[in-house]
Amino acid sequence: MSILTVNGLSFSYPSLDVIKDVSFEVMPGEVVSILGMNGAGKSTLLKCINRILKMSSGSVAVSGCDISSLSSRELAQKMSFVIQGSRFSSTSVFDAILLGRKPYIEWDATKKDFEIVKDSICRLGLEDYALRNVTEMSGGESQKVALARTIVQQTDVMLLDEPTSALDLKNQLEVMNIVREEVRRRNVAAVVTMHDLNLALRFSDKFLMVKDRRIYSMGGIETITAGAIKDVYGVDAEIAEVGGHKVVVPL
Amino acid sequence: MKRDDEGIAQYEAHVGRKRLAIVLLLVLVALLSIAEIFVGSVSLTADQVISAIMHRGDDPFSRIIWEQRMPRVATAMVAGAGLSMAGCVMQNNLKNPLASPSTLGVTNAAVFGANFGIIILGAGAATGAYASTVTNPYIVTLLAFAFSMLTVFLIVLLSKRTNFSPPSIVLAGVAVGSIFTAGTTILQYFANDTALGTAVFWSFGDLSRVSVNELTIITVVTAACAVYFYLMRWNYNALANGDELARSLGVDTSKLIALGMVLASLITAVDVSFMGMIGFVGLIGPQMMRLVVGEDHRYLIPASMLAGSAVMMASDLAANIALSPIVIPVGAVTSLLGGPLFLWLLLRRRGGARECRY
Ligand SMILES: Nc1ncnc2c1ncn2[C@@H]1O[C@H](COP(=O)(O)OP(=O)(O)OP(=O)(O)O)[C@@H](O)[C@H]1O
Ligand SMILES: [Mg+2]
Repeated sequence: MSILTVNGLSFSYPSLDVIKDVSFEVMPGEVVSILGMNGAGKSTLLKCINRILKMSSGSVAVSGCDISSLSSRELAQKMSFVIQGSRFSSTSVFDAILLGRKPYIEWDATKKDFEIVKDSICRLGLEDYALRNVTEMSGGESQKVALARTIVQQTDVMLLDEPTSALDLKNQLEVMNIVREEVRRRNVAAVVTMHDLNLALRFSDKFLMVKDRRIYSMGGIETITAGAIKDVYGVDAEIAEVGGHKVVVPL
Repeated sequence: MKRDDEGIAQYEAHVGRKRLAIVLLLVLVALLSIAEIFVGSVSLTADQVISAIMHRGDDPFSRIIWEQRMPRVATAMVAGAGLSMAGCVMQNNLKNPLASPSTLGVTNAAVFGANFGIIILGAGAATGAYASTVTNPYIVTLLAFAFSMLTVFLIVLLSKRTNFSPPSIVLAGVAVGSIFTAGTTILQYFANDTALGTAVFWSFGDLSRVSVNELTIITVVTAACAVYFYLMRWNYNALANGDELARSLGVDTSKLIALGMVLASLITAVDVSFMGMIGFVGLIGPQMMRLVVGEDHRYLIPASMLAGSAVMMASDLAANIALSPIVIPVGAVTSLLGGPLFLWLLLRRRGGARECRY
């Protein structure tokens, strides 16, 4: 059974239709990347799925529950979101990540919450920063903090809006490996927007290409063809295979 | 941070420093209240004070302590805590470090409401050659509340509808505030002598005029709001990272912001209508504490309350001592302290990249 079902989702800003009749399904254990040009509506789509924006029509279900039937807290226990270009308030890195436990905190954070936060700090290699102020982190470091916060939220679906845009090569691979490992380990799902096609190709199980406010294609790696790249991005490219990985080479 | 269990101990030590700051503030507030008991038009020795506190009697010392000084100390403590907490919540809810009851014009609106009650609805009366009191404090409070709510509503609308930057919101607050001040002036211009006397006298922020009944109201309102604000501490922490993040963590942001602003202005209205205008405590308290404990509302809310109490009591001490035996209205002292601090904050914001996130 699918862990995330999006059915006929449409959304418009007062002056602009952004998303029209989008439907897709994500299975447990899958990493799905959403690809499309700047302004294609990727962030908007994720925000609608997470109920941050109210879709004008359509429905979204997580693990079989329609999101409109869930309370905010219940929804936050099932779905988490890394916001594109997250801003942080002035607290320690540890406290910033601890906020991810918010949907579970009754009166105050417990030892168990601290343990979970500590584990995610270690997994993302943030030990040296844990007690430093998060507003003093570099762009890439803060992206890792935002991802750690999503991981401690322990949700069925992780929505990650450009989680790797500010990371160096090593950290891109590391972070995407962690995302994939988390998805496999807990048999959940991640929906990721990315502009680095090769990174997407390497770490995703499925690809959702967005063009002109609609889904252009949805499927496995076979859907990423030279023709699709041309249609979606308007760029001539060749798909090659290097060291066992499929790569997109713009011409 | 260490990878083993000691890592959590390190975090707890880090948090422990914030707890320590709160304990130190408690000590400071305690010391200031002792100092406050001794200050007033009649000087008392330690023995006299202690015996008056131990045995409440009918002797003059006992009456001074029980009927004048202790209520004044309690008022300073509670009102300072309330105004500072209101500022803390306003700053977070509007994501504006310059927000506070006085910088947003809420205080001026409350003053206008109170003047309206005293002058137009005749809720004031002369009680002697120099003094005059408010005869119907509840009408005055209600009007103060109504007008401060109106202002808060306007400010929230402005910060939502437009992409106003924090300084622009404060400018809007100044504009709204001066409209109300002009209104107050017009009311006073057309007032009769008694009402004018009451209104003008009332406008000097003063702690000693608060009656025990009024103190009870201030305390109940402040305590109830403090409980609510403290319960919302995790929500405020989420909100400090932006509305979208807060929503993704399960926070109902619109309700949280609206209710927080209503309660913050209720505190302002109650304090202003019973004490008169006391400016800038709501700005100074939380601003100082942001530097000490950061933006973690688990600690920022209690720390701001204590800092507000301390600022108010220190100001009251200064008001009593500076030109002794003349007592300056405490509102003048807090504004004297707050004005320069506000300027400093405005100047500091220009350089610091860290502040850009607001
Ligand atoms: N608050 C808003 N009001 C009106 N229009 C908006 C708003 N936010 C975004 N848009 C518009 O909606 C469209 C989709 O924006 P969105 O942020 O979803 O794009 P995106 O695919 O995430 O782009 P990017 O790759 O640059 O992040 C854009 O044309 C954008 O200008
Ligand atoms: Mg985007």
